Amino acid sequence: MRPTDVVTATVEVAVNPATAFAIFTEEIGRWWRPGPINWNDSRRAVGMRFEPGVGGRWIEVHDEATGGGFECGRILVWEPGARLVFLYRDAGHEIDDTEVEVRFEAIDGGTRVTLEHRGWDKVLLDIAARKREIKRWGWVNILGWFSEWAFWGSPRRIQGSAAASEHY
Amino acid sequence: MGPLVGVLRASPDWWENFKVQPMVTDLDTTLAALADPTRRHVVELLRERPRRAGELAAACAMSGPAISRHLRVLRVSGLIEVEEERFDQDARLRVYRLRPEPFVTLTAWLDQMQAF
Repeated sequence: MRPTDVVTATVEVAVNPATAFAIFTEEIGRWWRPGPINWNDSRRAVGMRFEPGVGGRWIEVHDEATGGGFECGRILVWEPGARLVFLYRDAGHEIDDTEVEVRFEAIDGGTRVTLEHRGWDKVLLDIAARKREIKRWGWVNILGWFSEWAFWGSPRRIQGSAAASEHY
Repeated sequence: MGPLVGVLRASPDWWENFKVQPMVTDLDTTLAALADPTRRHVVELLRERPRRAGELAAACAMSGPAISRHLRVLRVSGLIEVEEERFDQDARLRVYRLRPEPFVTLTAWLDQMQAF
């Protein structure tokens, strides 16, 4: 598999890695943007959530009461402030069990968040290139939502800032 | 990505709280690259699918050197990249494709204009 077969997206946020990880996972229900093309089932989707820990799921919530819905991911690695890895799938079921890794690295004044979507050798050859291209744009867009929430909206954005952590 | 340069200039006090500027694709560079109609046409063609320079030149009714100047601006500005270099009878063929980051940044900036 060529290096180009890995889809990557990167963004930098002005909070420390532990906070960036918490915002990404615990606050996904706030930063994931609603809209008809942003869901697996737009008629039923009410939000996103992560079940923490290895074996937990990333769920597109359809039932507000139970929290149930469509499983977008199954967590393989859960290292707060460092790394999140999950098996990924969408409603088309053409890219099931591809893998997404999200790394949180401390940089001067914040965190670099790098997402890598790989495992495309599992995908049928004639559709893999098209799906990779969709994801190449999709993940950049999605990390953009996350970074804007981390900067403008998240209640964690002040206390989690890299500047604040130097004082406490 | 975070708040973009134009928004930061409007909110200097807010900005003082943060040491790092969120990674931002330079909006000035992106807009300058898109200010030319030929380059916008190239972007529209690449939006359909990746293409080689020769095909872009033909589609824009331009010579090789002329389109190369535009491709260089787009490449240096970060709007396009070489997807892969294929070889056809020893000739190196560069296939160009769009990069998503500048367009996502531009969209986010435009979203700010429409914010409630």
